[in-house]
Amino acid sequence: MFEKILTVKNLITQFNTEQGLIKPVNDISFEVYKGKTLGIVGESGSGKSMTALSIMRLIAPPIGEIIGGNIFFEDKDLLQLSDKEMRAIRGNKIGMIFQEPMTSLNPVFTVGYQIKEALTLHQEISFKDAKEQTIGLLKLVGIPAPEKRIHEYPHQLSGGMRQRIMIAMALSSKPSVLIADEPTTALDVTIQAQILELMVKLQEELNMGIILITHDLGVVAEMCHEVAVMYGGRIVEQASVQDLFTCPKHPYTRGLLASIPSLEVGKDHTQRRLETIKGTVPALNKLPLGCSFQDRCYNVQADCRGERGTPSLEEKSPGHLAACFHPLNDIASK
Amino acid sequence: MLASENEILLEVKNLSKYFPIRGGILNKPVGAVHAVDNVSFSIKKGETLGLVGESGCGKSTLGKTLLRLIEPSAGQIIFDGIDITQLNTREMRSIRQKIQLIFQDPYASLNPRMTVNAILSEPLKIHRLYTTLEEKNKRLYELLDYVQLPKEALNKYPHEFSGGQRQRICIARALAVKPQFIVCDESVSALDVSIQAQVINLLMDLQQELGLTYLFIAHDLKVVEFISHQVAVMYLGKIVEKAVAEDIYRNPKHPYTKALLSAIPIPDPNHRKERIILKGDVPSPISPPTGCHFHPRCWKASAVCQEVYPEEIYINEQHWFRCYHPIKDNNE
Repeated sequence: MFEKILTVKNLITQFNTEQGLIKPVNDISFEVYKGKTLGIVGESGSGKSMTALSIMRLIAPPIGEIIGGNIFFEDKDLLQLSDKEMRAIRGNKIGMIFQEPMTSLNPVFTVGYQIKEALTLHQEISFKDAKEQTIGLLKLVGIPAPEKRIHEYPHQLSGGMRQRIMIAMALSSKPSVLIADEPTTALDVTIQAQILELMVKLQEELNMGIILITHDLGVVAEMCHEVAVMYGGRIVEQASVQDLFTCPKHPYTRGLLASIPSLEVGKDHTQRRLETIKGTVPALNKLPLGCSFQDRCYNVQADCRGERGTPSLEEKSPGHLAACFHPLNDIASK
Repeated sequence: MLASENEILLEVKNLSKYFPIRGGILNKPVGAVHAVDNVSFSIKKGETLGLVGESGCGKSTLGKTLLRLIEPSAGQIIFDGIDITQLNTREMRSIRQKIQLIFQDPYASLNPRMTVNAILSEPLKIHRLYTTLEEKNKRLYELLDYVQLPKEALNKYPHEFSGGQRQRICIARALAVKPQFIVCDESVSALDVSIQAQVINLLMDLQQELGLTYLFIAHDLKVVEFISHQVAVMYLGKIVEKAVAEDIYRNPKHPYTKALLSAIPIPDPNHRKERIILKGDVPSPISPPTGCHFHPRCWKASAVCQEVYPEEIYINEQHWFRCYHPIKDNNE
């Protein structure tokens, strides 16, 4: 068995907005294993990024607050740590890559300086060693001529290069968990392929557990071992990548899969139609009573609308969890 | 179908757009960005031409040049038999009624201070498409009906809508003047998958209902293949391959097309394919590599690729590419 490294249990994050209290992370539980990738998918506003920020404890009070749950990492509950103890873990044992590499890098410092800063913050090393390590890291992430690149500023690099710098920085302290929040969304497909390949290679080398947050089910199918689908702040389905793609249980997952245009359509052009999910993602302050997906679901029934409450995430078949009162059986989901 | 099935609506001949780069103390041109470089293609009435390529390859510039929102440096754009590059501003305005544009970002392309009513009425006003108020309102309801928005939407402001609905407003605005040709510049790229599917279906329905012709610009090959009849692949300002959509997928000839296709993540964990990972980034269009622009990233490049840009090679009337070492068989 693979070694469990991070356990999130019943995590709830609450935001106090002008429109009222909302819970972008509502009772989320999952586990991350060494050398394995957990994918979190969902549309915008489903709470994927907030989950990542909550794990890193980057939710700023008083507007946002983690109000419940546990995050166990190395036998410690991250939510019980002091700010100082948390700083020793954040960016050190748990690394993070963000979506937009241009805004996450400081434009007025060279990339070499920024990586060195990350190194010296968590390790006691000399300036000279830090420089050598920086060059080593840039080599690791496949940047040509690293000796020259460390003297360059972020604007002198292309999008793919900047994302490599971000990865190098996140890996500087050899984290055991890497949280990647839409790491390739801003990149072209050919560059995305390079970055994904790099992440797989580094995962094997460093035996990291990765949490990959994305909206692209194609990326999930290629990268992840386990997948959690989020909707309205909750995980609505969780399964191994095989099970999720071959027999989705939640109507939302099935709808998501069906709405991707497939490259292999042989149909006459005039007959092509994509299956769609009607309506739009509801705002978090206007979630309906009962199942949050009820208004968009093609299989909605009377009990979804309230009296039974919100469906909880339950095991519907071994290792396959879904939060739905009327889950799809294997035949219907095909 | 109509009798005009094979009629060509838009023909582009040797179109180029260079943006000069100025420098030095005299601010003289010192170079040029070859954003669109000697591009030729044609689109038939009622069809969709998909244009794909990575960022910076010139696809958006090409789209805007077709409407003369950017003046072309050279070449001809023949729309419905008229060379629109020769028209003056006033003549151009009447052509603009027939060519419309839908942008990528529905947040940025709608004025936040205008109601939907005002947004949709503006093009009708400019082109004097109504005489009475009833006539105008009838047209507005018709437009909302096309894009499946409720009548109440007219009195609302853009911020009251979601991304997908806003894109519907943009589509309605483009349809207001009864265009024949619409340039969709990354029109679905900013939307979530489930919303993207709704908008793609809407665009395809409208095409059949109103006989529209689209130039569909996108970086997502899956979407382009789905919506287009013909697909053109662009790399550094030049079209490197053009074919019927299915041929591009089944039988890509240019190594770049093949690499682009292989880089798309397929949402099926059982689908394992050989991936071609291209080295490096798209080179700068200011000083593109000599010969074939793709040769520094190409695994098939030879000496000749570095010297002369390859000519078009036709496989059949619909399918051509520019490469000295085409892919022989897709399983290669």
